[in-house]
Amino acid sequence: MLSASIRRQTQCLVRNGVFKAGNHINISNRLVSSATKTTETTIETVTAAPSPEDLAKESQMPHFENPDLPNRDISTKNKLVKPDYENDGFKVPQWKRAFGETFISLFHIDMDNVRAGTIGGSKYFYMCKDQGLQFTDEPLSETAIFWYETLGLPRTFAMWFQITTLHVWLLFIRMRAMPFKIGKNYQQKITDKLFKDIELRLSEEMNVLSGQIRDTYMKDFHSQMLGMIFSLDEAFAQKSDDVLAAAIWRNIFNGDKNIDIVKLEAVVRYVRMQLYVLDNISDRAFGFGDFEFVGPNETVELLSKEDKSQLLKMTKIKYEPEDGKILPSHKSKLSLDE
Amino acid sequence: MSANSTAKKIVSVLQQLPVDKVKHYASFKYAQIERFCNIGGIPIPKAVKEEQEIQEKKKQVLIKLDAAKLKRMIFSETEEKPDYQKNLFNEDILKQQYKSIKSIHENKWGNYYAISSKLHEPKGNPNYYSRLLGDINAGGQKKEGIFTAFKTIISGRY
Repeated sequence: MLSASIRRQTQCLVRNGVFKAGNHINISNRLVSSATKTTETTIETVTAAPSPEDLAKESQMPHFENPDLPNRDISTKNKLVKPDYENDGFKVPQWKRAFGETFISLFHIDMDNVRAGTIGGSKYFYMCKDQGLQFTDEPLSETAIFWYETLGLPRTFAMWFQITTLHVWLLFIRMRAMPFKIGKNYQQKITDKLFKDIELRLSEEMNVLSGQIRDTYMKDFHSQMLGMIFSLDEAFAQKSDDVLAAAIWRNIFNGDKNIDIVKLEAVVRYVRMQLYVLDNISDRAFGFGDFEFVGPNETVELLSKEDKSQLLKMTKIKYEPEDGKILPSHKSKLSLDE
Repeated sequence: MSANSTAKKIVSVLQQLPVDKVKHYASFKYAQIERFCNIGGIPIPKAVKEEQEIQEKKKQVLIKLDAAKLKRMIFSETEEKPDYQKNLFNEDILKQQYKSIKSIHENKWGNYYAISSKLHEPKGNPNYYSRLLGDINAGGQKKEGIFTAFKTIISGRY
């Protein structure tokens, strides 16, 4: 029997929706192996490398508080209510689906354009912002535990923004590799949503009631975002972990002089792992929202050539079935091969 | 091997790190060299000191007001110096730090999770990274011709 963690893993990564858990468990298992794996599993797995969380936990260096960056938890009192459509398992009623399909087919709607908003601006953005969300007296999510407890980063609104931007940048890298017009649209939508969300959070959660002050903060966040994307892009272009580590030190660890380098390495490893997954997912699967960030307590195993071709084959079966029946909303120009 | 020699090894790896091509508010390389020199009781290299002086001069021009920091500076009796908590470091901790900085410098994870040219030369914008690097290497001083500038603005591509 599969353990809960494995079952959760089978829902994530490239095979999310591409591989049906159960049928292709061996391959999916080879893709991701969790550090939190329990002994119940009978499936043979080889852990390639420790997960970022395990790597960071190995460090024996005590945590030094930075007096310049005190914790400022966000009060649960002001917490924004998550709309229904953000929750797992939310399903659109059948009649709405049918109406939508008819509408799309009748007016020849360009679905790649629409998907930029529903996938890029919604699903992918929710994924990014959930990574570092934290509230007072509320248990942290698995990913937030990594950022705030394992790495010891300050629990502040600015930190949430930095973590979210790091993930947005990871998606930007993949979006640039999509056809120009579509990729740009995805990027635009996710940025729009990010700033819309920041404004809402500033007014609701942080209680900044003056619109003028909010605007000043947003301008600050915007220039921070430009700087962060620039330095991370520079590191990515130079193909160097040195530069990437320096960019992460400045933008995630706030240039802390007393940084634990083991933790810095863990974040470098985390970023590289995500990029590897993004590299191996096809445009079509990525554009349809079949990507999920690998958790910091999970590790990705390297794919063999056969695995890669199998992955593409499964994507093809999912998006272009042999019987040729594709719903109007599933039509796309995105490539299935790269 | 004593803790000091491990700190020395860390400093020697840090010295091999590339210098930031664009000046930022802090340099990882110089900040960490200073820190580990302090921990290992090694004299701080001349290049690092010079760099720090330049940074200090810049700071005098750009003063960022931080109430808490100012309060500490005004009311503390001793001059504020970065506290590296030297006494907390032992041989094992330094060895771990050395191992990590070495694997960062050797590009361990970049090589392990190697990625193809698909992301490095994105098909939607193939020259994006080469142009970015070109501009960074030119120190942001290279001027663009009017035609290429128009092309960039109209097409949005680089």
